[in-house]
Amino acid sequence: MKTYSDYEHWKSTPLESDPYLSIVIPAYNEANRIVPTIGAIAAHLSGKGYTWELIIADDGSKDETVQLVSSLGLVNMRVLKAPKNGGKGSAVRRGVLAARGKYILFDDADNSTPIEEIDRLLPKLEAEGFHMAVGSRAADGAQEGNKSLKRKILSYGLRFIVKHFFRIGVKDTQCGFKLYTREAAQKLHTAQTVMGFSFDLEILYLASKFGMQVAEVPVNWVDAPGSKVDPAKEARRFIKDLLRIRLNDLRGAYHNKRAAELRVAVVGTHPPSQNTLTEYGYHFIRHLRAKPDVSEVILICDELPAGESYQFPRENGLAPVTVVPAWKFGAWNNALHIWKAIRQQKPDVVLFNIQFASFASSKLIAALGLAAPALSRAAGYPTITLLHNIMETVNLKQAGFAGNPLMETLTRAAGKFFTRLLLRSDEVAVTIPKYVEILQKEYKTDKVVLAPHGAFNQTPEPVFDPNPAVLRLMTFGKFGTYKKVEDLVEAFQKLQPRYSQPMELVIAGTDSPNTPGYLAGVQQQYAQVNNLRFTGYVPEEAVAGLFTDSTVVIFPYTSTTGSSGVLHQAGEYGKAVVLPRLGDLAELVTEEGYSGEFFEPGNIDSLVNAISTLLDNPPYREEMGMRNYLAAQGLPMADVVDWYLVNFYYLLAQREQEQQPKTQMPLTVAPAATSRTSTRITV
Amino acid sequence: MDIQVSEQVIRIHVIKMNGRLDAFSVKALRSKLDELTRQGGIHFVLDLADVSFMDSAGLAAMVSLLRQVQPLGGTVKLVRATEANANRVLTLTKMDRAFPIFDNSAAALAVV
Repeated sequence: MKTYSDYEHWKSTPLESDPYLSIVIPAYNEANRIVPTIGAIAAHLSGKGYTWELIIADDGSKDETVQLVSSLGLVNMRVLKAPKNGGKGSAVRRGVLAARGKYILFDDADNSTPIEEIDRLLPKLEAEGFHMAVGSRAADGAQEGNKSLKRKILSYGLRFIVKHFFRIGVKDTQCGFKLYTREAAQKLHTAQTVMGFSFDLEILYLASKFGMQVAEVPVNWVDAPGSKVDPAKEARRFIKDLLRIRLNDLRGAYHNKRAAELRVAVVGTHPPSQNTLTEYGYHFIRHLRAKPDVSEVILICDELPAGESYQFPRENGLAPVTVVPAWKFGAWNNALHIWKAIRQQKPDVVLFNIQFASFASSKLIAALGLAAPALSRAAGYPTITLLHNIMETVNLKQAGFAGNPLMETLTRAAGKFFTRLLLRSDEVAVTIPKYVEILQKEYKTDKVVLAPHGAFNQTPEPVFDPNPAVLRLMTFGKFGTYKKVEDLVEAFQKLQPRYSQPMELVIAGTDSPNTPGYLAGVQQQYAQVNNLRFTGYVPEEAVAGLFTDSTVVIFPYTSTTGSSGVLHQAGEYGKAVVLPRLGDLAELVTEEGYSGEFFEPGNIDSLVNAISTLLDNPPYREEMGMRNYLAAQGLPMADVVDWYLVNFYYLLAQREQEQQPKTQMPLTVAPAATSRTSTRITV
Repeated sequence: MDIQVSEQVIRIHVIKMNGRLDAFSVKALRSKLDELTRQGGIHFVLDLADVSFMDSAGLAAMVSLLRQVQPLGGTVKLVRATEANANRVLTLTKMDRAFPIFDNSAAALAVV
């Protein structure tokens, strides 16, 4: 009975997130056979305990197939209707590329391989890490029933050719029962060019070419009545398609970068390194790995202390990460080592995730590291530098140059020089619109692009607690340079006596690498303050709890900073925030839809007032938290990563164009359509 | 004499928006685009003529659509906004080079 209730639920309740399994059935004039197949699938999968969807990829059926399946009223079944017949391969391709499941099964409409066989294929991907598992009528243990003599001859003949001329290990290439990880499916079917009967062969050829692991699993198989294969005719087409696949490969048709072949090098930091921008680096790489067209991420990062290591377990659906610890915080020759690592790894494109002090605390040594993007581009690699701060907005007086005009002038001149050096990248990306305009104006360049910060995670809608047991104030970051906590501790001391509820001030994070020992000094200075907690390094898995347990998130900054990762995180968890009245943050609030309560930097009473405004007014706190949540949800980092990829493809295309002979005329394609239909929608 | 006639039909969704397209309103656009791509739509014209303001979040929905349909042979064309405020983010991000941009939807539909 559980199976039936599961079926009823599946039939009528839309999935809330991407399913575990997608089943794609290509269908051409299948009105007579498809309903029992759907029934068999639903009967077997209901009660399995995982989520699944069904996709019927019509291939321009002239019978009632589409109307029939549409009338079944299954909410988790999608029918992709094709206006004309394009071949079974085209239907499978559309279905597979539209599928959202972690695993995707392509299954013939005639149910010739019973759906129960999926239970043999799934463990190959799930437990053994294969990219693909194909049902096989030729593997040891397979049973073939009802197979006609004509079909047997065709099968053996084709197997011989495939094995000896194509070196494809799979014995049965044509079985219509293939399971892929989503990443593999998208990669393979994006590169697919054969839309006819032999598309399976091309997919297996590509799997071998792309270095994927394919398991061949024996399955039961029945030559279903009404099967549409004419053996002799199909054998001729098969040979023709074989030659076409070989020719395609020789012509380089499968080298298209959009076909999941992009190797991206990211130069920057990543946890457990304690240098700056690790949090950004962690999330950026996480999202980059999930992009179907990225085949490998090469992390060119800083060396870790003995005993620590970077961990990137292999996961289905994520591109592998090659870790190259090539530079050291504070070393003078970082640019050279990074350049060497890039030349050794030969990525397709390079992204630098840096700020001015990424490579050292000493200004001169840090600046030497900034030559790395210019070297990368000079070595021929399309290079984008994501620059988190710019010299033009740094308040040098607050940075210690007050009263020394000569030093200030020299620092500004050096800043300009190194900014020009960074502009030797193909593009410099900054996170705030104002930065784009400043750099464009100051350096008369068109190389600067806006690439917003984006929210690290898509989080569920926050639950607001108007009366928390503890009023918890929290600040998070790397402290000591422009993030200083003394005023915040002073403000906390003034606030504690005002409230009857228990309070806590949480200072989460570590010293900035430029100011070692800063937090230990503060801790000593305020040792007598009650309810003051220093967390030290916050591992990634503890970040969510840190934010959700906070009542208000505070930004005790004294200088401009660029787009704030912590503000985006506060947004993700729906938190009200207290911000300094500084140019960048106010700009960010306006541009990205965040809101906060502002205080004057350096004025403790102003900070006290801003915090108590939020503590005293729970509805206001809730409204601000919700606004920040919506702002964060509006621009996920996964989308921002797409922007970088779009820019990289543009740079790659530009290079390709530059390499073409100049005499060649641009290729124009005449419109093929004589009519088109369009649907108008007003949002 | 041989005469060959072929008629091909391309389904194009024209999506016209108005008002502000920002972090707060983009959800509606995203869910509409999601619905259409789930139904197999791959050709889109996004008409921004009447959009008064667009921010990065609004643009992100369009870039996401582009990345989704391009591997399937799909296209995303834009109709330019009349308000400069709505075009600013396109220029700052240089995404104006990723999308073909037209003055009106008729011009966008005229080019295959």
